[in-house]
Amino acid sequence: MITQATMISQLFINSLIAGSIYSLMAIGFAIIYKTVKFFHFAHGIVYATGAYITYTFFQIHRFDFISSFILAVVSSGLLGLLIYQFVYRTLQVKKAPNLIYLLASFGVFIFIENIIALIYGNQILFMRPLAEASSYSFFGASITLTQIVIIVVSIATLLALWIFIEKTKLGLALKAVADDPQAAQLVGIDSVRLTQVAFFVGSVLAGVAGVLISLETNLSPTMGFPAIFKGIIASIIGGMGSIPGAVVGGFFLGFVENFGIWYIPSIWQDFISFTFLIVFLVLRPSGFFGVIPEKELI
Amino acid sequence: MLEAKNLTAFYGPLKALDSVSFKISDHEIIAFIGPNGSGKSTAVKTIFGFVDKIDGEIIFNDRNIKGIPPNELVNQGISLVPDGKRIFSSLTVLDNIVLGGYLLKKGRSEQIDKILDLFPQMREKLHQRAGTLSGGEQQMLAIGKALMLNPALLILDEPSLGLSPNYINIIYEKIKEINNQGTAVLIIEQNIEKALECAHRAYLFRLGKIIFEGPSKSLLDPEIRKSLLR
Repeated sequence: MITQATMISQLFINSLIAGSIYSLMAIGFAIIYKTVKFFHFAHGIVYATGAYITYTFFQIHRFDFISSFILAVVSSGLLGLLIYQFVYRTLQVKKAPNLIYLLASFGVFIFIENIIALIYGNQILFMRPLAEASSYSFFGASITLTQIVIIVVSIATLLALWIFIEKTKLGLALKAVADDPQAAQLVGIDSVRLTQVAFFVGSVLAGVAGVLISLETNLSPTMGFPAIFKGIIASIIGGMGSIPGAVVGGFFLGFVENFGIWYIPSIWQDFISFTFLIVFLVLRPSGFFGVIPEKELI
Repeated sequence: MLEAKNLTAFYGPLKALDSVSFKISDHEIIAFIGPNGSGKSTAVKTIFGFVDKIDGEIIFNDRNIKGIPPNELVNQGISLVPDGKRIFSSLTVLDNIVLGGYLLKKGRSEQIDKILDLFPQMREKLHQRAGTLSGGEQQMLAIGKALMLNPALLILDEPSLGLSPNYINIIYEKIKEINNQGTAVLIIEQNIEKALECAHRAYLFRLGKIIFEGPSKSLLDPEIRKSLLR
């Protein structure tokens, strides 16, 4: 029999998993937004690509999972870098207005989504590298090895990112470019190089999220779209462009979505997220972390 | 040390600087003065490539530096404190100073000490967010940050803009101190008296051209300036 306590611990686990993925998406999105000040919507397709590359190495070429994971994550980072270099950088040189970046970003998203569909087909794919049978008890609820891996890898990634941003010279330079690109150049920082770093790091996080989620659910070419939406919502709730905000926003979203379906059917999960988005946009547009959205939000 | 020859600059189709030539020697303090929109600030933005199109030559220590990106220019020994927002306001005072020395390979902590000796009041505020400093303190921090690389030439765009008279005096004292330690200084100023008192030589700008150059004392009389600007 499912007691209320078991139910709570099960929802808690589900919230943690969803929150981890949303946080990873939101932080990657936030790092890039903070640096370039436009919406990198194609971030969602980097997430999907991470999942498909792992699938390719692990399921098709029979690499071991760790190697497939590392290859996929690095490729995701490189894909983000390429999108910056060939699309956004070209637009920056031409001094394009901000709306153009958003449109270009949609274009890149759809283009890569179609390439994925061409190569892998539109059907759903599965990848289960970890023994499903092994499940553990957590305050009455059951948690699988896969779920533990998702949570642990997410938290480890967040910690690594925190060390990178707060404890390294490159992290400080990244903050400087985000604060004021021209002032950053005046202390000798190559803003273009640092923007490349931001795209690489942000895209690595999207890749990690994409791989982790496909261990638990499945892969489809359209998987990037809901992911980037949740990332953006988490980012806005947390405070646009704020990295701690993105973590808080991500987990907040994970928890309200999962505990929300205690009361209403689960197909309404997205309804819950968007409701919170609207509530925040109307009542507290600066999000949890009080960063006032800048004019160039779009 | 720095010499510009027949410098012309454009913002889009607009000619903002019309064939100006100026020269800054080692250990000098130079003032660029002139009314708003006369091109004095554009002259500096041109050195750093912050305009759309540049004609002419800019020579720094026998090297042509025209078109060199700003991040490489600072590495060659020219530091700029731009007008308006001059610091990383979301970062701490210490982070700002450390970032000033981003390109330093070694001796960073000695250099930080040197900067803090010049601006001792920064010592107590190292871990405060730079955006919470007063305008005068922000200007000191901006200058300190720009000195981290030990530049041969320090350029200050409107250093007294928005500051209280007390802070303006302090900043100008510091400029003389910095100059005494061997750094050439170029000041672009609206606060003409202050700049002329401090500088050795001055250039007077009008409508994108230099209409007078000479010892700054010769411009101290407002009547003379007025007749020149007429």
